Amino acid sequence: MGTFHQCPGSGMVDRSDEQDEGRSGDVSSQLRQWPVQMHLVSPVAPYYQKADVLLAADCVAYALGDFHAEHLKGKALGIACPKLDQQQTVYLEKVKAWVDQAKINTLTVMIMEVPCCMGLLSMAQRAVQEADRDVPIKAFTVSLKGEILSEQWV
Amino acid sequence: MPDIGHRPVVEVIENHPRVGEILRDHDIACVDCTEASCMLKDVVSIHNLEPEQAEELARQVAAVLGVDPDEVEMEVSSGPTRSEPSPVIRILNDEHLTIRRLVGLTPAMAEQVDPATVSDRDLLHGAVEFIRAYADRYHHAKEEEELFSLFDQNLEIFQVMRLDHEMARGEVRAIEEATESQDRAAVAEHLSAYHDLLEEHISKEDDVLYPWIDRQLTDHQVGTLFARFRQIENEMAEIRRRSEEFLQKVEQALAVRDGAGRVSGQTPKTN
Ligand SMILES: [Fe+2]
Ligand SMILES: [Fe+2]
Repeated sequence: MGTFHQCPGSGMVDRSDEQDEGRSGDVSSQLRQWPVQMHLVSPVAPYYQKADVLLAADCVAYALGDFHAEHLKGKALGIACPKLDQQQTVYLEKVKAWVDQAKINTLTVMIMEVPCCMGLLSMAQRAVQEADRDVPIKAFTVSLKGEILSEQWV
Repeated sequence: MPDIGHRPVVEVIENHPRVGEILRDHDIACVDCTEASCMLKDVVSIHNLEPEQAEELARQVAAVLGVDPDEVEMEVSSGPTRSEPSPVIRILNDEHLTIRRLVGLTPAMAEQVDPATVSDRDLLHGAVEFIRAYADRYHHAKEEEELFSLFDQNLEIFQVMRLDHEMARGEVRAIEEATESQDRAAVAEHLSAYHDLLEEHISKEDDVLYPWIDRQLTDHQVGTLFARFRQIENEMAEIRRRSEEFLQKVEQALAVRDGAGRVSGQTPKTN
């Protein structure tokens, strides 16, 4: 197992020697929309109307073994990378439009434990603060090993 | 002992006082709860014990009752443990703080307020109006009509809560009647009864019922309740404004009286 060097967001971790039998069960996709990337989505698309929306950092779905069944199920999705994506003010405006125009029901933000990922949650919180409506925000933090480190209403 | 898990806790404790002591060792104060209509099997899920603690509790209780631990049927609650309350429960917790401000003033009221004076009768009518408007309309519109109604109303815990609400309404009526008949002793008696009832009721909700409810609520339900609560707040904004104004006025009046023995700047009138 490696350790973080300088930037924890890009520090190398190697767990290839860890064995896992895997889990059988519901592995069908829970995605009910396209597109999903925040630059590509229209915030007023029908699937966002009054929906429970999940805003996930790009890496989350790869890290979590049960992302579809446990987290995406029943939710409309938007994905983004707060570290690398350009023009993130567009994201802020789109989240505001989710709240005010699509009148979403809840916003769940899932981020990785690396510090730079916090930016996605901060952006979402700011957008909801600036919006005219108010919606509950729930935040999940996911570890590099794919565990849920915290689940919290914010 | 058939169906021991389905017996009321209070009855089990009555027959086996040692069970009460064991529960208390696990920080579960069923012995002190006056209604305690919960069933033995529900104690674990209602108090959200960790699996190991639940197992240990079941083992200890079963040993006292001379039954197999499985017969106690104590089940650990399902759903994730959330350390922070959801936004809807937080709203209700905050409203309890406001109600508790009024409840906290009732001992001073009982001691200092004399319904023979016009100004004190006004104050008591104000308190009655506060409880009816803020607690019974504003808070219960959310708590009873929206939150509780999502659950099976036959569950004993909701029946107990609604009974508390009814009893509180009865005490408020009694305060109002005693005010009108200028019966100072009866005013004090019913203020005190209301105080004790509400303190216990709010503790039960904040510490036991709400955390239990919060663990059952789906995210979707939290969202719809939140929107509904905001709508109620908008519709009843005037109640909130008036209630806050009243609380501040009474807090000031009683604080001043505490020092000077009567409301500052007013000469109590008798009629
Ligand atoms: Fe209540
Ligand atoms: Fe309440």
